[in-house]
Amino acid sequence: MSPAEIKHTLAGRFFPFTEWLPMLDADTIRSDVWAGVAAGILILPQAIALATMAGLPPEVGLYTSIFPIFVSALFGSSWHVLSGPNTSISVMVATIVGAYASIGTPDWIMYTLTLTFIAGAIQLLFGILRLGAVFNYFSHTVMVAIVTGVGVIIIVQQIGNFFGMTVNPGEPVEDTLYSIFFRIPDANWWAASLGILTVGSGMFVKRFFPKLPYIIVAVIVGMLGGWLLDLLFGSGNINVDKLGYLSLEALPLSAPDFSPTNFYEAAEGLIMGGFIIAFLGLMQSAVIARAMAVRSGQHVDIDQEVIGQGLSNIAGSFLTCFPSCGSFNRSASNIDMGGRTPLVGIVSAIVLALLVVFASPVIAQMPLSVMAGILFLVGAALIKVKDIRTLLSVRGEARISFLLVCFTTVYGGLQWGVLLGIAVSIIAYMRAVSRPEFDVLFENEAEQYMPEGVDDATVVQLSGSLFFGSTHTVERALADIARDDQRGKPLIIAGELIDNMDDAGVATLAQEARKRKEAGNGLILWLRDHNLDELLKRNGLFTLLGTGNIHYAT
Amino acid sequence: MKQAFLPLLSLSILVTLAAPLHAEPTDPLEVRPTLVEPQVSLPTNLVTVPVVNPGEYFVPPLVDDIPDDKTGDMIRWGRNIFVNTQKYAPRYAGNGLNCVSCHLSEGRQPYAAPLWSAYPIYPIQRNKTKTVVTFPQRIQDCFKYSLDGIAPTVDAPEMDALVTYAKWLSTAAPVGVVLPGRGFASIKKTHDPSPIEGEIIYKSRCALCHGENGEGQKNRDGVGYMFPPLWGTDSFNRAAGLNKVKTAAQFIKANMPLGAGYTLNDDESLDVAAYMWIHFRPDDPRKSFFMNRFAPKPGGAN
Repeated sequence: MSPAEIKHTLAGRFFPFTEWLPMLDADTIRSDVWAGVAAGILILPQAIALATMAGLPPEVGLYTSIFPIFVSALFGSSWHVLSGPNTSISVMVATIVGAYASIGTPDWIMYTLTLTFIAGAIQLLFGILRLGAVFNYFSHTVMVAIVTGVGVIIIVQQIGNFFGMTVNPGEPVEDTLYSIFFRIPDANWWAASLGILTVGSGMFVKRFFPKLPYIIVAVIVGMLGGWLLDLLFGSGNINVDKLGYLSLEALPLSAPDFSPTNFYEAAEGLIMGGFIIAFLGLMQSAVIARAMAVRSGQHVDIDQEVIGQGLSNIAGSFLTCFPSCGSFNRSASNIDMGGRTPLVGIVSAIVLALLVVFASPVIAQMPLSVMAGILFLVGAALIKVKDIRTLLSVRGEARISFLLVCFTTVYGGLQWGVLLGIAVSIIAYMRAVSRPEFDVLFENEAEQYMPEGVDDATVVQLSGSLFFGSTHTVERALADIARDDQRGKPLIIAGELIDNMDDAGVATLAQEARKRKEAGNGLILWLRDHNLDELLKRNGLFTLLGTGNIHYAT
Repeated sequence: MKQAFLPLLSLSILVTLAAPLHAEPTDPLEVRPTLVEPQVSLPTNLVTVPVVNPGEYFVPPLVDDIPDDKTGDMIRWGRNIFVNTQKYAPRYAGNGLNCVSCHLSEGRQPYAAPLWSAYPIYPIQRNKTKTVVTFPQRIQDCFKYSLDGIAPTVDAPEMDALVTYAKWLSTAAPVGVVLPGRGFASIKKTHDPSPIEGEIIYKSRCALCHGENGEGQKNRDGVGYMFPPLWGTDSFNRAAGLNKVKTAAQFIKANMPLGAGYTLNDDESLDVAAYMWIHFRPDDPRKSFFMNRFAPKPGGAN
């Protein structure tokens, strides 16, 4: 590597934006600005709604859609991922902070900022230690289950707002539904009709005009409906709860609070929660970055993406933001709109800020039931019926882990769902790798492995990893074979497909070889190449089998 | 040395014992600091919290007595919203007023709708809505009408803060008892109030603070009002209680000019209130757009 190249990659590592800045020409800038304008408008209703989900003032949601996007656009790896508030993380924040403060109070905001900092620091650590690859092992089933659970939680939480009444927060799903059923007569039908109008128009547009951004159309239709009702019947009569005037500061400086009085009582929960949020955010960001890379063909450095997310959250905690991560629908629409570089994110942040400053009196009149309708649409989009049906139709592991994680998320809370999901992923991964495949070969297939002088032998093809985790399975398989042939024949293990082996794996083979020797027959081993020789020699397998009984495919 | 010590000791004990006997009578206008920082130059007594004679009216606890825990934080937040609604609850305020614009002295002043007289009697039936309303619902009406804004939901954190503040101001107040000082002062109407008379009184007694055109007087930094506007787009709307001539007169009689309540008599108060009433103010949200244009203006009947 020449010095110039080293310098280039160093710059790329610490300032990833140096790689795409030279790409900007008139054409790219034009398409990026348009994509940015679209993205900025698209996020407005979601930013407000998700901040409400997290129990925060709507302004915090807007800040979260402005500042972290700058940072992750500059320091992230993917050119197409747009960050911002995220549904699962919003629900998660409310769950964690809810244990230490009353919803929406200054204390609540303070703990949220601390949480943002902790999550960002953990993410940054992950990126610096280059642990981004960990997120490739997170099972797709678990991801679908968690997202489905979040969808259900969102819809259930918003039923009260949808019907214009107050429900008890934090009740189990069935209690909320039960109480709603009996309180339907008390519902504010003006509010409910606006909610129904929003959901209906959203579904209509999604079904018949898939090109249009259905969330935006639904918001506009809902707000127009609310304005019309006010005009005809008077806002004091219809009593629909509304959002209220938003006031943004140019630079909402804040700081995470680690002072003993405020932090110690919450330290355990916040650190634990920060870890879960960091994990949840990175999981989704990694999935999105990979999906976008597949669509755009750009090589994405997952570790750099993780660093970008970490930095954006750390910066966010000093600018009144709650934790953010990559957002799937925004990133997908970004590619659809023809965005090419992270300039889109920067433009979208500026557009959003301008929109809020100049459209504040209009946004103030957004009825909360319209917002609930939007969240119904968002939540319903998270419940992917097709994926779920596929998962449920598969017998066994996938179905069980899906139901388990989904049920835990809805009833036990999102944090337990995520923890269980991590555990389930690890278990599923371990189960998959600890089951090397055994195939008994016959006829022609078998004969090609028989060396000169051996006419009759049991030939077994072994593929996968032969390590401490899989010895149990291998031992059982070898015992089965022994019961079949009574060790009356030599055993040939065709192991060209063995990826790797450790001492425990070699010991298993050695044990079988010893048993075969006692029975008067040998064990013949085929390997792909000489990579494992060192290991076999160290464990004395060469002397046990005899050098002539180890063959190499290449 | 030792000899001089004993007489000194006995003297100091004597002074300590005698002191209460010669104590000054309680000053009826004890000076207490408020959250309001004077932004224009004012005589000191205009920004003080008057304390009435013990036993006459209920006395809410001191600001210094706010507990130093999470409840205290909530109370302080509620007090901030109450005193500076424009800064601490800009989301819900639709005009330039603060809660404290009408509920004088941070909601403590008798006959300026003090919170300590309201909190203990809710829920109660209101004539305005003909239904039983809870305290948060009553506050919602304040936001909708007097602040011409958007009501926080009954479970909004700002609402919780305001209710906590009201509850704290009512510490040790009897529950369900109509306390003296509740609402506004009573008034007797002896003639039809005359806005023409009212204009003369307004120009001479009120315009100094509230402006010739009722536009109020802004703080020197241009944010929020030192003296609230009495009509116009930045004032309460047609559905507010103070839009009723009688209610406004009751308020004016007891509290206006600020710090010199009861200096206008009943008739003068009614005249000023009528003069306020004839001016433009934002629409009544309880009526449709068209009814606001064509129906008679509410509030003048009594």
